[in-house]
Amino acid sequence: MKNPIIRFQNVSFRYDSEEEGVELPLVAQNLNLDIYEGEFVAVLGHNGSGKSTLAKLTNAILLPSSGKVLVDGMDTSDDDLKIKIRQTVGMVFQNPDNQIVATIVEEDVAFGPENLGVEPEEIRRRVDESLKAVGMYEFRKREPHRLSGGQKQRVAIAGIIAMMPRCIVLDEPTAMLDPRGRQEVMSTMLKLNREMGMTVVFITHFMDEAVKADRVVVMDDAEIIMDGKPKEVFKQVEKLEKIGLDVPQPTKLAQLCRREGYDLPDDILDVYECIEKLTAFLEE
Amino acid sequence: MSVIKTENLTHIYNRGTPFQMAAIENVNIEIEKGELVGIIGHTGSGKSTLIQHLNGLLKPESGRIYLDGEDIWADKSKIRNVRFKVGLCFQYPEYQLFEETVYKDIAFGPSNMGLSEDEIDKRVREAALFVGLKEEYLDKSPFDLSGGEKRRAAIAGVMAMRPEVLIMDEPTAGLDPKGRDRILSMLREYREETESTVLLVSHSMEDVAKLATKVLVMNNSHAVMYGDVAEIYSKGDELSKMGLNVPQITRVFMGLRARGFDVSEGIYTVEQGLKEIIRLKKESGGK
Amino acid sequence: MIKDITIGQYFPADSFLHRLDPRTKLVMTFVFIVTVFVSKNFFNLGLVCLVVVAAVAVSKVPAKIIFKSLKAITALVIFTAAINIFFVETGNTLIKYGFIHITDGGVYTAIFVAIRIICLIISSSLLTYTTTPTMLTDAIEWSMKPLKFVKINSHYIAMIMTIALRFIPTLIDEIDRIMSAQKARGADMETGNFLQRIKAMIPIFVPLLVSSFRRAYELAFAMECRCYSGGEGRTRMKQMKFKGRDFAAGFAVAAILAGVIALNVFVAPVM
Repeated sequence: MKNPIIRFQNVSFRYDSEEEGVELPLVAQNLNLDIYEGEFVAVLGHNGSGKSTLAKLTNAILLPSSGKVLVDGMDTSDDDLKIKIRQTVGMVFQNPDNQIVATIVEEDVAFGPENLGVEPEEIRRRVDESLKAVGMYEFRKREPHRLSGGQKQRVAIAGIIAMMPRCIVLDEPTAMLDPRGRQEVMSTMLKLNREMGMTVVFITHFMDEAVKADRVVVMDDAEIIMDGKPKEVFKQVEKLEKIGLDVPQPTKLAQLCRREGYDLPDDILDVYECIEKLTAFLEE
Repeated sequence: MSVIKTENLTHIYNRGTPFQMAAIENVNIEIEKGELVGIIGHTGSGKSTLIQHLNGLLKPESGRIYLDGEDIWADKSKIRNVRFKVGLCFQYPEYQLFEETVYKDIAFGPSNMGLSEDEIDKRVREAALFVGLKEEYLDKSPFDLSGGEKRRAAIAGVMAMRPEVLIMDEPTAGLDPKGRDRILSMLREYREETESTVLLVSHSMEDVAKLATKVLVMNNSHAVMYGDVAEIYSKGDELSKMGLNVPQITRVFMGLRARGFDVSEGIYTVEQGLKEIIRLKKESGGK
Repeated sequence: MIKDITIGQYFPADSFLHRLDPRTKLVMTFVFIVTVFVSKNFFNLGLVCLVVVAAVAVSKVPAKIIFKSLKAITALVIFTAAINIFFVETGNTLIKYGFIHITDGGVYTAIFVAIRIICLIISSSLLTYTTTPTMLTDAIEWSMKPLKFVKINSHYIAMIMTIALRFIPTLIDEIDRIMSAQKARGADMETGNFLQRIKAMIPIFVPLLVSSFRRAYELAFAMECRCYSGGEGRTRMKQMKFKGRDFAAGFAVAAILAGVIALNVFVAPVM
């Protein structure tokens, strides 16, 4: 297997307390995680489960209290490597409004490469390509505040791609969007992953998004409690429901049927598969 | 008698300019007392404009709105009273908190109503109870609460006005499944205890399915469907065409129907689905 | 509603003025303002007016829009003119009634000042009508570069302006939303005396302040993630370049200034 692009080694994190002698609880506990080049990893968990902390640890916004985070072999706690690390792992945040800097779409996308001191012609080329990749090229002259939430989020993604990172971490990018915007963001990221080979870490509490990933990491109470393919993770219906997460309705239905003694697979994930399996079962 | 009724309600933004855009057009709805109505429709379908008319925040361009049979704009000077009777809780209501303590913030609405101190106190405590905020939270600063608690404190601020009709715009936006379920069950209890009418605007047809007694569908500035949950959800194809996300479970049963199985229309919860499968199996295949 | 107020009003069109380098326009506007002030008689003020009319015609900005921007300052023009009519006491007396003393010199000055203000407003609003806020910011950043000798970083000032321009519409939307939410709880912002109205604003401004701080905090994070570390070593996608038309326009404005000064010297001032 290839080298991991992000590696968590026994990482724990707690915020510093303002009062002396008081220790705040750990918000990340003993995390071990390898993210490989080209993977699409969904991190699922409820609010306060530590998934946002995990995101912020990946590009040196937060530094581990103990353990190590390595980005392409670079230790995030090395201050000299900060810029290089942030160039390797780009980050998109929850609120689309609060990460767009410029008053014109294309100028915002140029912001990152400009900070890196890229040549003007090269910036132009990257900006055009990034906007095309997220399907926002026609909007390049628009003002960001006139765009929909999903469009703004795609502009933010373009702004990261223009820095040519190898991995993008998205910290709940769909939490504030309507269903259409959520779909736009999800399909954009799937396309970037499938067509450009971009490594994606997608943090969310929507299970219907996690289902589409190659791999699902579930966090609860500051710890990673599950890590596997969506089918392996979601068939553990009771465990997921216990920690307050949703399970896809088809999976849940199959599970309930099994309890009735019906012979249906326990790892049905999507609607189509569910119809197929139920048809076969009912026609037996 | 209906508690809310609209007649040819129309509101067009920027009329006469190139940006002219109908927000709602010819909306005729009638909502019975005590219903819990789920309002669905995608962004820009006119949901938000509609609910802001129902409590008099927006004035209709043409058409009328009746509250308990009375035209709410009959006397313009009394429009503030309409806002107390029809409580509207906006999306992300936690961003409207401003007082020093949670207690004072919840009391903002009731004190604007000019109630006595005793009455205000009673209502604040009652509302806090509805949303599940403990007594000791009332003296805290609202800015010290967690995200979910802030949301509930803000909702309490609207409930404390004891509105006849409570309108909630996307009360679960941005919450995780746990927080979402908490708000939804809170709304259910609130309605059962107060017997008031509740309007729930939501993008999530799953949420509406869990809670609503009636569903109103908005599309392209028009109210296109209104009826019982099962009735509306049985029109899955039409809803999908409007760009709405029909629940997965409904889609499963739509698929089975299309394959010739005799399943009932309008399955919208997993439990209903299970019952249907059991029935089909008993009828040996169901074909 | 507050939303209807236009800020940084740019009028998109394809004209000679739109195509000029923003730095040229900034300097031109400055020189032209000087020109307006050194115009001392009706001959050169007439010339200035002609130039303003010509500039508006070249800009392709409809006269209707120009008049709209003047409407906002009508009160200012009338007020200044009135002060001059009543308080300038040179030349022949026209009317003397009690303490009111109006002279022809006063009337002249009033007309003169009014025309000056109108010319100033039109020329400076032409700058904003034909230049996007971003381009204007770039030009201002350029014009402030010499300030680095007094330890003022022009890049930061430009960055602050850009972020302000970016967030003004967002905050206006937010104010609208908060106002509606508080009105829905019966907040009364329309009645009461001055003090009561100020008090009624608290439910709007506290949430606005809180959310602005949150936005600032999140934006700072996002900027850091995009490797922002000040102006040092930064490049720009859009390079500003002076072209032939910039020199032509600059020459024209210089010529007008020279002409105005010449008229001052050779034609006796009115007053």
